[in-house]
Amino acid sequence: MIRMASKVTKTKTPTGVELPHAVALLIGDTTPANVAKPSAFAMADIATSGGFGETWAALAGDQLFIVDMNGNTPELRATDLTGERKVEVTIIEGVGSSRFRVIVDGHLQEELRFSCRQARRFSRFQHRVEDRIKGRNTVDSDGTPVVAPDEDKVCNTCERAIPDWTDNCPHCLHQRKIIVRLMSYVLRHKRLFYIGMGAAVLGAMLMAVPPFLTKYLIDDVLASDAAHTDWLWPLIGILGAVIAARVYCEYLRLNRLAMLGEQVAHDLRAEAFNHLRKLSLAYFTRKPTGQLVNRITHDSDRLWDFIAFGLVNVTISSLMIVIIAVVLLAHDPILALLTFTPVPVGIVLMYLHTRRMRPMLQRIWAKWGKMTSVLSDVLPGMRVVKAFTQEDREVHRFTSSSKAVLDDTEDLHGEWTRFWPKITLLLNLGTLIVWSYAGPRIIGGEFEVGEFVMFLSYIWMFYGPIEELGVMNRVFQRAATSAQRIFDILDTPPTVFTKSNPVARPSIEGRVRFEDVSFTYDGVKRVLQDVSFEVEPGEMIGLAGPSGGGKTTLVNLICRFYDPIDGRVFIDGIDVRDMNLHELRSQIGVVLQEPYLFAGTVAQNIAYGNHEADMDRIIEAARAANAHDFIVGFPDGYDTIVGERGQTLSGGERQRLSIARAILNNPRVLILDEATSSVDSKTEMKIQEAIDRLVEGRTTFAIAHRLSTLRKADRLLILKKGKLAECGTHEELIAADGVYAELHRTQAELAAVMAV
Amino acid sequence: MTTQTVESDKKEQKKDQPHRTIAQAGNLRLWRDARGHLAALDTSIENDKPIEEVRIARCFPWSQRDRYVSVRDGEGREIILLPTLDEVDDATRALIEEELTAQEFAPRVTAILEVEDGFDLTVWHVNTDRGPFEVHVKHTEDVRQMEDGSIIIKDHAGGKFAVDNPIALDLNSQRLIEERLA
Ligand SMILES: Nc1ncnc2c1ncn2[C@@H]1O[C@H](COP(=O)(O)OP(=O)(O)OP(=O)(O)O)[C@@H](O)[C@H]1O
Ligand SMILES: [Mg+2]
Repeated sequence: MIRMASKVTKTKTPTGVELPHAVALLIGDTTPANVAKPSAFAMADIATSGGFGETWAALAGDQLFIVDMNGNTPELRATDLTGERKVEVTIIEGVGSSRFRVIVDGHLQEELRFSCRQARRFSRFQHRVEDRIKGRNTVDSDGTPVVAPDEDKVCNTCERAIPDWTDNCPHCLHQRKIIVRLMSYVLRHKRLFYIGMGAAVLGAMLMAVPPFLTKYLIDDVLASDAAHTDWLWPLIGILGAVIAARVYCEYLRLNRLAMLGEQVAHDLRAEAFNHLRKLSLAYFTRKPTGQLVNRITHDSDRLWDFIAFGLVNVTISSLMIVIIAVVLLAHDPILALLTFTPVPVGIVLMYLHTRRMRPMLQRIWAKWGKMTSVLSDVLPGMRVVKAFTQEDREVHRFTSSSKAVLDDTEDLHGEWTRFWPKITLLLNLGTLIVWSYAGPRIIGGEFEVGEFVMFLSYIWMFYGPIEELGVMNRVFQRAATSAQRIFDILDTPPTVFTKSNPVARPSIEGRVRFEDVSFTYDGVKRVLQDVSFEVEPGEMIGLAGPSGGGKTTLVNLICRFYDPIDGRVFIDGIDVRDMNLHELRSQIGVVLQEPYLFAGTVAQNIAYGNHEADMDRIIEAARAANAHDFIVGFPDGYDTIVGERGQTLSGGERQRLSIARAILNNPRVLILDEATSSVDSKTEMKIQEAIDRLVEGRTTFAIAHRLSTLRKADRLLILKKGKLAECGTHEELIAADGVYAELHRTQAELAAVMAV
Repeated sequence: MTTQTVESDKKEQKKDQPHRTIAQAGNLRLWRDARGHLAALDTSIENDKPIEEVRIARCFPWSQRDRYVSVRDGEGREIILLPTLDEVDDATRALIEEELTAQEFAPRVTAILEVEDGFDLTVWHVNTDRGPFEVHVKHTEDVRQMEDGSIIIKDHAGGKFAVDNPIALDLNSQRLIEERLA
């Protein structure tokens, strides 16, 4: 929140975060000094023309001011809120553009248009204005900020507050270049790294020795006028030893660095998954599963490639280039400089190549992600695909997404395969230049043959690494994109997290209170609006109302799967945002609308929230859920494997297992979302029995469409279009003759028809 | 145990209108009432009681903008579905169009000036047909290519900024967008 604000002020167009001085002055001129400061304001960012604009609405004292900044001179209009005339303020939600209306005595007086960006502020503003109309005075206008700056944890480098969900300063992490960041993972395994790198450097140095020995062999031992023929065997011996040492170094390098690569890939995978766990549900509804899977598996594997081979090759190659350059210069400066001529051209080529490669890699990655999303979308839905005989269509969908990858790789491979021969050609030109310079001089006797052969070997040792750097460039580019993808996960802040210094509540009583709670999933449509109620510990609440009314959303907020955008949720009088998430959720039992089981045995699934539970308790829970009998009926009993998502079970069986899971957890607050929706009436009765047993003494929220299942409820909350429409006992609501009575009548009629 | 039937909703229930439909597009008449809301009448019924707080919605806001417009009552129930606007009378059509323009805001991006990467937020400085704007993109996948080739940049607050024809943009814009397409 805080960081965002600072970011916003940096931009040029008005953001609505701060009331401009000019506007405040205008308002100040017309109001008495004691109310000169507006207590609430909002900015409408769409002008009547339909373009971006700037019109302010501000509340100061009893006046609602509208300041239109779109013309050449600001225009100020005021409406008296507490005077004779009746003032209403409403917001008409639209698609991307909502309208704030001021209606005076039934006549439209002002209409301001604003985009999604301002929606939240306007909703707040409307509340403030309404409070004022009703004569309520609200001093604490904003409630507590969601993200309170943490005073003890401040980044040493940039002195920003470090958010609670991480130990590292995300800002600084982000500032660091990908490679530096990757290196910090590499350096966690110092032993592997140093041995591998040491062996690599040693091996590279040893590589420079043989040409040197060869020179002696040719010029001093083998030549017709050689003075040291007796050096032959010792020299061969040394050569052999050097080769052996080099081979061993090679082994050490490959082995240690390959392992290092795997270690880093593992660390990143584990860290990414651990971070995913912290991310809020909203993240997962938005991200295609396939993409996430891709990032964690495929991308971490690419990093292995780079760390095992790329890293060392880049280092060694650069090292080699410098060493050999020095050696060449020392031997013959002119020849050396001739050797270097192709290098600048090569560098330019490489730079251009990199620039072209990067977007291509990005694009391929995106297409690849789409392809995996098709898979993860279709495979779990195979039943539907078959039922609607859409196999051909899905095959086509997959093939075309795979083809899209193919098409893009064509560009990519075209690019680097064209780049590659260019480099080879360039380097060969280099040797031609050297030959044409040295050839005549050898014939003329200025140059010794051995000397030149050595020189030639060094030249190839010089060009080799340059070629290598070209290859590595590609590996490096791929790795950098992959690392970026993983860091992208690690850098995503969770929106729901435990703040530091949470209020400890190891055992809650189960008093639940909603205070003016509003919520939206997408920032546009309000799914809950100003919902307030209070539930006593142990009370059973039935939640009913039309489909899409916000029932599931409401219980999601109790579990704190999401945080409300406005208002607060309290448990035992503590704002859930102040509680420890783990502590909170472990005391809330949920049976979801779509029960989800994991691949594993029946027993493991029942004990999912409670791994230490012994067999007795598992059986006890299954009994209570009326699941014991059917489980024992399976040939493998409690050891039956249920398959991914519990596919091998029937809908009712899945529901009973998830009830057993909730029972075993022994929660203080129980949430049943349509727990009996997919079963026959006899099973429903059994589940109902199980539930009746379960709700005893716990605060329970039961959602049901079949109102008969809510007969035990102490009170009913009826949610309609995100608003709490009614609240009371069955009898009271029937007497009130509202939404509930209507629902009840239709169901009774339906039941009568069915009975005939 | 407390009973509170929420006050404002009691009001709402009283004025709860029964669900009505209008069969013929030609019989639909709209006007704007004093409060600024749309109201509808069925001209085939004499002395018809108006339907209040009428809302207009497009069925295919992105793929079929100009077809299938739904006219709905305050409860979100459809009064009539208009496959095209050809058959309604001129005044009504003008009102429908006015209302749709007022509730929609989907600027078209004409150029991308600069993209600032920051932690947590990427700021896209763009020019649109409605003026310059800074789009705040929170997640990489919020910049997306649609099936028809257009690109949608989603603001973290929910606003959508469309690039109808990316190839028609200047080269710098194209490069910026291509590098960040998810
Ligand atoms: N993850 C989501 N993202 C965006 N919108 C959502 C999401 N989940 C639900 N909605 C929307 O929020 C509204 C309320 O949904 P909710 O699931 O709370 O309804 P419900 O009362 O539980 O309905 P039902 O009785 O059918 O289960 C619906 O209009 C739905 O379209
Ligand atoms: Mg639901």
